[in-house]
Amino acid sequence: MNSREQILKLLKQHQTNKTPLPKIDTTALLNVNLVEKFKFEFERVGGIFIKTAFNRIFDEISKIITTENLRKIYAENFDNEINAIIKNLQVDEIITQPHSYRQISIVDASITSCDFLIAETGTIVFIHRDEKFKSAVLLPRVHIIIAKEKQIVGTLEEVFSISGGNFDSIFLITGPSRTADIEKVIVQGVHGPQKVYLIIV
Amino acid sequence: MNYTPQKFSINAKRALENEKLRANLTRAIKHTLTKRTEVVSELSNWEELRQLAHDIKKHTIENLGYYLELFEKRAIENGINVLWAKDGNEAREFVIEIAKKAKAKLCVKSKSMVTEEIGLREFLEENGIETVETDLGEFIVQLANEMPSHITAPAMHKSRDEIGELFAEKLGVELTTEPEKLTAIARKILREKFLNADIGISGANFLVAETGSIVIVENEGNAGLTTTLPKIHIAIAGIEKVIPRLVDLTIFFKILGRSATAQRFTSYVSIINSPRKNKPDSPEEIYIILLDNGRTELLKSEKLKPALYCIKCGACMLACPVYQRVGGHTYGSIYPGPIGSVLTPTMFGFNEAKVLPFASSLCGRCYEICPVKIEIHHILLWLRHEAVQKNLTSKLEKIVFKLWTISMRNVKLYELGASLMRFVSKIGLQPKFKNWTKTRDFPQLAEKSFREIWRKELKNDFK
Ligand code: SF4
Repeated sequence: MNSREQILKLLKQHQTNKTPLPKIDTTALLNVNLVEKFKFEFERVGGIFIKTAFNRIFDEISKIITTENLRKIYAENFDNEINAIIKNLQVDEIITQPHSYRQISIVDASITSCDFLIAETGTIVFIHRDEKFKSAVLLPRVHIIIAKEKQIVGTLEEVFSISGGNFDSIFLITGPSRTADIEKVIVQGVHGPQKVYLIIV
Repeated sequence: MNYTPQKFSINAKRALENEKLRANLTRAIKHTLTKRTEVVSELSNWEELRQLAHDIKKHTIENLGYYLELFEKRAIENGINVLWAKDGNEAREFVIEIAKKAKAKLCVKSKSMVTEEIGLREFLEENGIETVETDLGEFIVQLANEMPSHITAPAMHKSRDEIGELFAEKLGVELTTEPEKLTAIARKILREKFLNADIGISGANFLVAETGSIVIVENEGNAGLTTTLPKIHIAIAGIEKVIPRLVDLTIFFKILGRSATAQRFTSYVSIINSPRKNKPDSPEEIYIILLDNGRTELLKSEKLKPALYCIKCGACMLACPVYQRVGGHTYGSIYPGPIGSVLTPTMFGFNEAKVLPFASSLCGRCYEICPVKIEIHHILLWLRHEAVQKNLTSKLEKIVFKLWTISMRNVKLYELGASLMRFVSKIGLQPKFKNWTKTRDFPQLAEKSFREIWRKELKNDFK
């Protein structure tokens, strides 16, 4: 008997089936302004929230470029309008078609989209099914996300009920990378970004 | 230093005398517990959540075979290789085989208790494969060549000064004691490792049966990188990690972050379903090793089964008055504190670790804080009973308790015994139970017994 069979045989011998699997009531966020709630939670975990009109995106990103002193940027492929805005940003280099994650590891910031925003916890959801660089949300020091207001949902349950099990992976980001491993002092930017900007249009 | 459970009392004494250690512990524990209370009390349904989590775990453990097979089926459909290991040895062999086939030279590891349990890093290093802990706390204890002292805060026993000196000595960097600078140093060194690693090794906080997902919760981003950059990802998980549904995660996320690090939600969660062939930066091969290593032993006993509900948050350790004073290393096990005192003797050898269930005040704080409502203090009491049954306590202790039992059954004998004791202690002839009095004072008997007072002074008042 191999280990698999051994383990399973033992487990089946001790199967009792006394306790039913509890039902989980879907908790919707009722009577809550989702944008306000998201903003509150996102800022509470250290995110920087920027709500703006479409024609102001360029200015907002430019402001971030100045404050953070960004020289090299990686930008995901957006729709044509946003691509055009990104192309005009004043930086030394904009990478849009990296050949490996090594290139992304040397940029100062990445600009990406996301799939959902969860109001309950201020969480940004990335669902991977396509060619996107997964590590673009983790490698650079600064991460800028451009999202639409209608991407905000109430809870993680809602995300799961929309996505089902059909994905390669899901990545949830709630604030910047952080540690408290040295004397419980919170330090941001351990392995992932130190700053997370969300531009919501 | 070589710590083993047998040496608990020696270790405890040493820890209690170490003022620096106690200061480090107190600071870290106080901080986390205060924050935890804050983020727990803002949830009006905390008790409901605990019960739900408990019931989900209970149901799953009762049907563990079913859910593991379902997980396996879904994971294979998703393109993940599923391996079953009955013990650490088999698990280590699986990993080395994969590593050799891939001609791997460098492995990056994210935090995982189960890999500590089976000594995976040491094993890989012995086999010539550089293996680097990437969680900051684990990186620190790896550098110091120590064991983690807490399951979610491995370096909590160290101060910033000690860490600064360690970095200067081992990494040849300029001495600094600022957490920001120390973190930046680690980031730089570990970034290089990430970019060059052949294999990423992780644990798993949960395995979702219905979708075949591997779920990892973390704060630093190192688990995200570990499971994204290298071409091969190996996840190792105890068989008890499986949960039935994706939606169950919503309950566990709420309680885990709050209990482990006093956070409302951890910074990062990876839910991994499948490898991605020919994609820019995802593993092309994913392996999950399902590890038994003593877990089925717990399952055989109704009393011990609940210990398998543990989600390894570490809260019971922080809440434990014994752990608070002696720290994690004292227990001589990678699973310290209350739940460690259950897991260590039952999973890794009763005889060697039989003293651990006695290293508790049985106050029940561990149960009160446990997010999955494990009655740890009851299990500890039961394990003490087992230790006695198995003849693992001293002869003298047995005789004393035997006499005690006899005298408790007979009033006359009891009174005789008590007055004898009173006489002996009055003339200063305290019994010298060395092992007992080494760590506690011998209880002083009151001058008069209650029965005496009752007979002489009180009885009439109540007439
Ligand atoms: S026993 Fe409970 S409190 Fe202790 S680590 Fe496990 S889940 Fe956390």
